[in-house]
Amino acid sequence: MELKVIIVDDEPMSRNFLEKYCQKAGDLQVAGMFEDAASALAYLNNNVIDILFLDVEMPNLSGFELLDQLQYMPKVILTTSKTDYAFNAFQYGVADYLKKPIPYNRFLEAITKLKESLNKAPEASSTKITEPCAEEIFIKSDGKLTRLNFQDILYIESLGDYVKYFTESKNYLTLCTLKSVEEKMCNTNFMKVHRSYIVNLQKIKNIQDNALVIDDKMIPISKSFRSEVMSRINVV
Amino acid sequence: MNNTSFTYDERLDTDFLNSLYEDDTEYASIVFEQFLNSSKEQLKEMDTYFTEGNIELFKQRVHKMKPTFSFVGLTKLTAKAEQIENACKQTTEIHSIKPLYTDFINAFNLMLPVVESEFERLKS
Repeated sequence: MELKVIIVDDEPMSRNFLEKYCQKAGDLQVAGMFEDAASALAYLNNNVIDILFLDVEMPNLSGFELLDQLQYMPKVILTTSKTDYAFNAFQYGVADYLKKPIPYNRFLEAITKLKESLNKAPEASSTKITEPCAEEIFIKSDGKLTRLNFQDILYIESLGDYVKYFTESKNYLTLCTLKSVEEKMCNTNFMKVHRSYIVNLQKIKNIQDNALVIDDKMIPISKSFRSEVMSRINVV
Repeated sequence: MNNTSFTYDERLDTDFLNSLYEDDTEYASIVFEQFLNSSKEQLKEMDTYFTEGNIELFKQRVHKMKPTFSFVGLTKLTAKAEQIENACKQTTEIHSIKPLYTDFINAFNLMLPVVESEFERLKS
């Protein structure tokens, strides 16, 4: 699986080194390089990435301030020339902490560890299938675990390696697959209606042809799910 | 990519350079060139901040340059830069760190010709 990365560092030689290392490592696609945190933040608000290589000390907006403002949390690898930030790094749950200048073997070690953790994620969720049904879930978003009551969720959309939870008040983007969400949503009000959508059946406003509407959003219903949808709602 | 026969000058941190570039002398040559093109200007800027007594901007410049010395095998200069950065945190009086700064500049001036000649060798 190719992982999409961005590099944020105000020092050009450090940026170039990381870019070179990403190319050398293979299956890391450098989607962007930014010399300041504000430009990176603008990019991250509109694009989903897998790995963020982030310098800490940058003018105007620091690396940690950038993390505070993110709408979702990709895997973060801090790249800094100080060791002082190790505790903060731990608090922010960063995947790794590389001290500059970074030798290639240390870079590769961090990437290997990170890939392993990404591969383990679906297994971890699948082990919880047998747990009792809950009325809420905790999702990792904005760098923290947030409680979502099932009744507040309108629908959930798959966005590649991420899913987005839509509620009436806020949306949450989190790193996981729709399949793992489906396994956790043992509450009968939820149903997968399309390969990219799980919906709360209680929130459907209307159904027309091969689509349903929730909160003014038209959601497609796959042919294979249509009969099950119709059987689970009370049609008079 | 060139092959492995290149031996770095022993006055540089050869172990670190080998771990950084492995057998890629072509990329090493690009980085050495970037360093030579940018370092004098950045040091000039650093010196201006020092002369003006602007400790905050001086510290930021030292911090930013710090890892780049190692990219050309000057790991001792990275360590000296770190000493200056730490000293800046302990004081508001920039001239108290003048001995450290002078030592750093002298070491840089001493090693710059080594980096320049290494760049010429890498290119050829």
